[in-house]
Amino acid sequence: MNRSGLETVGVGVAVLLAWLVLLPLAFVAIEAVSSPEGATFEAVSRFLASRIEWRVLANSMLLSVASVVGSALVGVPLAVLVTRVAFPGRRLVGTLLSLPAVLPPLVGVLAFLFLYGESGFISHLVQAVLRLETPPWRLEGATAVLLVHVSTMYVYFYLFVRAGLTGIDGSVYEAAASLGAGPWRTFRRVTLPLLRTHLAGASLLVLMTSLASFSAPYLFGGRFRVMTTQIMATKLNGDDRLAMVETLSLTLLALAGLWLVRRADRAPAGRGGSKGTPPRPRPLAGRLGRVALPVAAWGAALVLILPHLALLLVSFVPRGTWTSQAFPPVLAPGNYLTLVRDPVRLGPILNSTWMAVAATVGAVALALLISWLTVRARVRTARFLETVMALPWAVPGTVFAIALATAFSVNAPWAGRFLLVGTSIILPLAYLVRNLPVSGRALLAGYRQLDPSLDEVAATLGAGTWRTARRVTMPLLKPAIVAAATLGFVTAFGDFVTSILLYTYDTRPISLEILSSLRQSDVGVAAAYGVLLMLVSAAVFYAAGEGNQTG
Amino acid sequence: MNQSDYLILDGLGKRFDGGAGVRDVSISLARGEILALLGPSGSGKTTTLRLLAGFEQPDAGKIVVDGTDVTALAPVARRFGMVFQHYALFPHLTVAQNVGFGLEGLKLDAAALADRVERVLGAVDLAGFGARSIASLSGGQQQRVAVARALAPEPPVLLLDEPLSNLDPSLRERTRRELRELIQRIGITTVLVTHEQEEAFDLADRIAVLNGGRLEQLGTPEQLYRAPVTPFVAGFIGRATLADGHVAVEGQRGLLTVAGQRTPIPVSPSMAGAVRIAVRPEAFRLAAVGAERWSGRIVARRYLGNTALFRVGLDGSGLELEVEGGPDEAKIGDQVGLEPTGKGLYLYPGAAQG
Repeated sequence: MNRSGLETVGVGVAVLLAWLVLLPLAFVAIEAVSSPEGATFEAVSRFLASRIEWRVLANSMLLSVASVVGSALVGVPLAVLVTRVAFPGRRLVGTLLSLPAVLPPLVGVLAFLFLYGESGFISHLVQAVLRLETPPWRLEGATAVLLVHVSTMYVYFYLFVRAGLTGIDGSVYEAAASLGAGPWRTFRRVTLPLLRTHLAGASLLVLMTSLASFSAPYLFGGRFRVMTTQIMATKLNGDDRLAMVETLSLTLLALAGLWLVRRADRAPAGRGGSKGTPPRPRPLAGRLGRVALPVAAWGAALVLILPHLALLLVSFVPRGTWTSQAFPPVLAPGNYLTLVRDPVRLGPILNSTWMAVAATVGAVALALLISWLTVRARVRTARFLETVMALPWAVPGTVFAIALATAFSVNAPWAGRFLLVGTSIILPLAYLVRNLPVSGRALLAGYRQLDPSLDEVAATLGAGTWRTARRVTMPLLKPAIVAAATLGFVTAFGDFVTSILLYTYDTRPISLEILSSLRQSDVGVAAAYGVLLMLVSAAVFYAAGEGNQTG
Repeated sequence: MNQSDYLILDGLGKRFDGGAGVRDVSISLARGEILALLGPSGSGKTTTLRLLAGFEQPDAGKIVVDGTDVTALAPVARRFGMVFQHYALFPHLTVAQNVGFGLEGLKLDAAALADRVERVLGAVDLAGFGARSIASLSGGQQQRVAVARALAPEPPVLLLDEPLSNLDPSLRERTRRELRELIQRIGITTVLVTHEQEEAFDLADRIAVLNGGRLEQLGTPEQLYRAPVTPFVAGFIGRATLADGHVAVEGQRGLLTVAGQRTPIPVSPSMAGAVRIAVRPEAFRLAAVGAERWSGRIVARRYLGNTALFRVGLDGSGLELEVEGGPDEAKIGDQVGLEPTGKGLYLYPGAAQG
């Protein structure tokens, strides 16, 4: 293709991206200040004057900061323990602790519910032991949400810091020791600075995830509202204009958070000697080292993994059989059979599958095209493409769902708006847009690692565009494509945030069927769906890992 | 068609925004000739090679191979064999698959393909390596696979981009010799890029010295060393000190004045006036201080075994010349005179330029 042809494609894709990502967000802003009579700031001033709205915004902010702190307090020590201290079962604990990373957020929330919730194992146990009339507690409010957040998001700190610690050359510790630095000074002056990028990265992820978190506050929040749930409530009340203003406020909050963390991470990180080998894990001396720390590590792993076991167990409890006993009296596979046999129960599984597949294929294909345009063809719109492709990551899922719901609830082709809400296109489209940043990042990185001379040498050997793509580019990009597809599929398959605002009965995904099962106290079926999500996610990741190893 | 017109670069020009472009580069190669493009980084040598391969389109000029204008042809159609600096081997393919890549379009049957691949691998001394993975090869072996892959489709021209720069210094000399033997045995017209003079001297029949995107001089190694046509070439090929001076012609005598000191030179009437000079270490020998003889003090001595290089600071100036001499002829601090040897001193009209 010649230059002007390439540039035309670049512009075309830029327009497509703008339509998918920017236009919906723009309509949120427009709808927030328009009425049938023209421009109005009625909703904006209502928002600004409302103490509740400010309260909710503050809740979102405080919850996010608390989640970051809490996750760091859990994740960092665990990472240090697993990488630096030798104890029996270290590898197993290490693997167990990283599991939440591959599970959809809703599964973590559900699992938590079935262990610590009012009808969960622990409360059943306490109720049975103390012979109480009612469950001993209600898992509700800010503390409950924070607990769920920390127990699912510590994994970012855990993984990032573990990766960081593994990347530190052991010789820097020897150097520090030879310069007379004790353990504390070494930690403060050597380890922490070297981990800064990793800590900043984990903080950013937790901050953004908490700001966007919907399922935890939705299920455990009770009267504790954060902006995501507040938007949903306002929208359900029919106060669309106010919902748009709230959506805008959340967007701004997210962008501010992103900006703050990026700024904090601006200073150059001292990366030297990254090539060496990390120090080997060593058993610690003393009773503390030999007993307390390993016990703590195992304990933490159990506490964090236990909810998932509870989920598994509850999925085998037939409806109505578990009342006041400490342990469910009957365990049977009936819930799973229902999922397969009952068309109403099977429907959501099929829906989630095809929608996730469609969204993943679309997102990966688009990301592939955009990466090629930015990295190889270097079209003039490259910067725009890259920025806009990454944008949905910074914008909470609720915001995007609202934006899509707003933009595509009207048929106005001249403005790029089509009536998609209520059709089976809107959810896969929403998943696609939400998956774009992750797929894009994986493929951009993959493409950037590809030596451009490989393309050139293939050309000198007579390979045209197609043969080069088939024989050289695609095989080498396979790991990136697989990674992008895996993450994208799992996210879309278990999506709750976007779906709850955009689903119809015919396209209802697994997550919403879980919700309605819970509402009907059909706890076992809900758990069975949860286990299904868990298994599918694990299977997909496992298969991807295997495929990339042999391929 | 003239014998020396197999590959013609005719007035090639390419501009980049703030990059190393080239201007008006014209070179003709005979069939089987080996040409080195030599120059410092940013001189346009890689750009010239990429223009030849077809990765870049020239803004001006044309490229002719065997009587056919290929300027407008894409790399795919041009099919010059190319060896990249970092080899650009396909990491996911085996050695044989890499070498066979360029033969895939020929629709050979599997046996014929394998046979040809094995023959080419044999030519680079890698017979039996076909099933190996790229990652399992040493740097030198990877280099040879890259050469084999480029040669397998029997291209009209072979292009080498710094083919030895990625190798261990201890391996370089041997690989260079082998590469030269291979190219000569096959008799393929070759253009290679290098920034190392020794490599160019050893591999090439002729060398094109590039500087700032312009062709400074094209010639055999001997021509470049003995008769550099610009101060740049004199300084770049071999050792030479550049300085500004003045020439006065008095009858049959010429006198070159540098830093207030005079020395006789062979007469060349057109040279009178301001000159730029290039002085090789063999241009002077150490002698006693005398009239009409440059004088200076030895400031450093580099022992080279059979000879030594003395660094002589000319009196009354900051100028230091390198002078070759016997290792024990002088010691640091000695006051010496410089006697012209009649060779290795080049004069160019005008004062400093670049």
